[in-house]
Amino acid sequence: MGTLEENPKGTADYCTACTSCITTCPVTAATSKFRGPKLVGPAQSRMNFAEPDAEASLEYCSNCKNCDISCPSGVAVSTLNMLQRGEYYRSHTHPLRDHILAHGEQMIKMARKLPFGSFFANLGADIGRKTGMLKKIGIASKRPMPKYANKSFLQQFRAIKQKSYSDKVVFFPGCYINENDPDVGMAFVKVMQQNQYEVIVDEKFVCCGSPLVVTGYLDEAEANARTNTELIRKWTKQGYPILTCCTSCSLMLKQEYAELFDFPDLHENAKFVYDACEFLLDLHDKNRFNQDFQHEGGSYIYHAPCHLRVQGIGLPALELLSLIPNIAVENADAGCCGISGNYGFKEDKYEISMQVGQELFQRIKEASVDTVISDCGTCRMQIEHGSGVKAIHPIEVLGEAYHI
Amino acid sequence: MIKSDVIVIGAGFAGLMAAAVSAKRGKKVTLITYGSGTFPLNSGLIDIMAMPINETICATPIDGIEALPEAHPYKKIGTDIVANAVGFFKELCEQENYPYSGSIDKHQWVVTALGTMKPTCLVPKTMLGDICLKQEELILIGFNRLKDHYINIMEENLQQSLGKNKIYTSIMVDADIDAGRDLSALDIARWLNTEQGYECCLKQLRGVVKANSVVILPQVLGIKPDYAIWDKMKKDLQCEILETTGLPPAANGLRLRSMLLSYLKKHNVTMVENAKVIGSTVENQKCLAITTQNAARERKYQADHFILATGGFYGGGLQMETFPIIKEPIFNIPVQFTGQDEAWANEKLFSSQKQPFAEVGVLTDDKLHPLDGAGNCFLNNVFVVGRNLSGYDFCFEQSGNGVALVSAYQAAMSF
Repeated sequence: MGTLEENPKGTADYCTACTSCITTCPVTAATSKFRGPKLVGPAQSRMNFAEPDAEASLEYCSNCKNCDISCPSGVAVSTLNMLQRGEYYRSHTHPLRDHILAHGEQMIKMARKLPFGSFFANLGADIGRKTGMLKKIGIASKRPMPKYANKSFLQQFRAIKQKSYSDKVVFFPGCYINENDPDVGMAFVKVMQQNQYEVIVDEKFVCCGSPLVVTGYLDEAEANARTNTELIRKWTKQGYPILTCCTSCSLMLKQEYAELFDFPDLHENAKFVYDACEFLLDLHDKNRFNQDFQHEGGSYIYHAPCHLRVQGIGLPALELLSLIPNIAVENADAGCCGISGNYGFKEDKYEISMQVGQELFQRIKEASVDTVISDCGTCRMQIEHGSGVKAIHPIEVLGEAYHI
Repeated sequence: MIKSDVIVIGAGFAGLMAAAVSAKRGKKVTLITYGSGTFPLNSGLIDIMAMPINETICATPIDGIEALPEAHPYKKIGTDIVANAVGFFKELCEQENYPYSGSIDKHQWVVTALGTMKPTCLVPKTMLGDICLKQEELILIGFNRLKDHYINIMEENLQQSLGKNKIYTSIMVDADIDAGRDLSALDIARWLNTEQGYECCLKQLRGVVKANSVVILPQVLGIKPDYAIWDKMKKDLQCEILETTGLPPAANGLRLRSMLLSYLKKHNVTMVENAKVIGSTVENQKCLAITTQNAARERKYQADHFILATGGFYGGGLQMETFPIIKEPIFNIPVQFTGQDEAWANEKLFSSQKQPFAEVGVLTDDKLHPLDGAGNCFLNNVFVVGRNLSGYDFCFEQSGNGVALVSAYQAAMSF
C-alpha cells in the first residue's frame, strides 16, 4: 500500500522484484494466463516509455489487493494496475459488457422511475441469463445476477422515525446496500440508534466509483469522486463521521480516491471515513458501546473481505462479535472469495473467480454452520453461490443481538 | 482494541517466531504486519552458523557460534538459549506435522539450484542432501518452460562436489499447464498439488527412474507444509526424492510461512495486516503504545511489551537517506556506523570478509533491550529481534533465519 502522502506512480520504483505479490495473488494461482502483479503494475508502468501499450494480461487483475497486503516495500501494486487499465481505455473501446457491469447504478435508477421497476429489472436479468443473452455479451451465465430489492434502502429509510441524538453519523449506503441488500442499511440504523447516534443519509451521494475504476472508466469514476468528496466535505466540516457497511466503498473513500485522483479535500475527508464495525469498536474502546445483548445463540463462520484486510484496521467485526454472549464465530481465514466486485460476473473470468474461492467454499462447507458472516456484499453473493450457505453482514448479527 | 500483553511488529520469520513463542507462553499477542516477509526468497531453511570468521566452514554450528566475536547476537544470548530456541522450533514443526531435521551439533547439507552443496542447520525432510552421498545414481529433473532451474549446470557442479563416479541422468518433464506465462517452481508445485498434475508427472518419471536412485527436483513438492506428495512419490517410484534450494518464489519458504501462520491461529494471535507502524508513545523509559498509519488515519495500539521485528534496510526497519545517518523509525533507537565511507562495503562481491554494512543494526543487551549511544538500556519493555540487530552478516556467515529464530525466542522469553 502506498501511504496517502505518496503518489502511487512513484511507488513503482520501490519494487525490488521480491515476488511476494506473485505468491499471494489469487488470480496468478488460478490461471497461468496472468503474468502476475509484479510484471503488470510495477514493471510495466516503468516501461511505458518503451512500450506505449498495456501489458496484455492486465485484464486478469481483479484489484483484490492481496498484492498490496503482501508488499513489504509500499508499492501500490493494484492501483498501478488500475491506472494502467484506465490509460488503456483512453485509446481502446470498451466492450458492452463492461459498460453494463460498470453502470449498475444508472440502470437501476432509471428502472426505479417506472412502476414495478425493480421487478422488471430482475425479470429482465433472469430472462437475459436463461436465454443466453447475457452470455452472448460476456456476462457470466452460470451466476445469478444480483436481485434488486422491492424498495431501496433510501425509500425505506425515509419512513423511519429515528430518536434524535446530539451525536450524529452520516451513512454512505453504497449501491449494493441501497439497491440490493437494504436490510443491512436498516440494521445499521437500528444499531446506531441503540448506541445513541442519529443517522443522516445524504441522498445526493453517488456510486463510490469502484465498479468504474476496475473496468477502466477512470474519468467517470473521477466525476463520482468529485461529487462525493464535495458532499462529504460538507459533513466532515461539521465534524460528522462518514460510515459505510461496504468495505469496497470505504476503501474507495478512504484510500483509492487519494491514490487515483488529485484534487483538494481527499486526505482530509479520508480521516473521517469509517467502516461501520471499525467505528463501533472505537466506541467500545471509549466505553460507550452498548452491550445489552440478548442473542439467542448460534455458530457462525466469518469471512474477512480482502478490501477490509487491506485497510490496516484488523478485523473489527470479529472483535465486536466476540462481545456477544452465546455466539461462536470462527474466522474462515481462507483467502479471497474470488468475486472481486464485478470481476466474477465476466463470462471469461467466472471460472477463475470460482477457482479462487474454492478454499473458502470448502472451509465453509466443512464448518457445518447455516450462516456465514462477511462485511462485503459481493463476497456474500459469491459465498452463497459457491457454498450454498446463507451469508449476512456482521451489523445484522449485532442488530439481532439487540433484540430489536 | 483490547490492550495486548505483547505487540509484535513485523511478520517476517523473526516476527512470526516471536509471536509463536509469546503465544505459547499464554500471552495475548497482537501481530502487526506490513508486507509478508522474505519467505519467498529463502527456501525456508534455518541456517544457524557455517562461517563464523572467514570462508572456512566451522566443524559444527555450535563450534561456529563459540568462535564468534563477542558483539555477535548469539554470543550475547548464549548457547543454551540457542539450543532451546532450536528445540522450540522443532517441537512447533512436529505439532504442525511438518517436522524439520537437524541439530546444532552437525551441519546438514542441501543441494542448491546450481548443484553446489550448502551447509545449513534445520531442514525439511524433502531437502536433506546427505542422501546423495549414499546412493549411486542421481536423476536430475527439469521442467519445460520453468525458468531459473538449469539441470545441465547443476549436473556439472554436482559432479565436482560429489564425484564423477556416480551415475547422472537428466529428465525433462512437461507440465500440462495451460499456455501463458513462463512457469516458476511455485507454479509447478501448485500443479503437483493437484491429482491430475501429480499423475501427469508420475507418468513421465515411471519407467525412466530406477529404484533406489535419488530423484532431484526443484522445490515443487506441493505448497502446503506437509510431506504428503514427497511420501507418495517416494512410494510410487521406490526411490529417494530430494528438493534443491531455488530462486524466488521458493515454495518451501511459503510452506514455512503457512505452518507458522497456522500455529499462530491455533494460539489465538490477533493479526492486523497492512498497518505500517510509524511511531511510539514512550514515558519514563516505557513504551505505552505504538502508532500505525492505516488507509485513512493513525491509530494507537497499547501493550505491556513490544517486540520490534521490522527487518534491516531491505525491510524498512532501518533507513538511511544520507550517509551515515541511519534511522530506526519507530522508537528512534540510535544506530551508528562508526567507520568512514570507504569502510562501508568490501567492493568485492564475493569478499572473504563480512560486509560492514551488513553488520549495521541496533545494539542490545543480552535480553535484547535496545541500548542508547552510551550503552544504556532506555526502553525497558521493548525488545529487538532479527535483522534489526547489529553484529552479524547473515549472508556471509550463513546464519539466515537462525539469528532471527534465536533472538525472537530470547525476546519472547524475557518478560
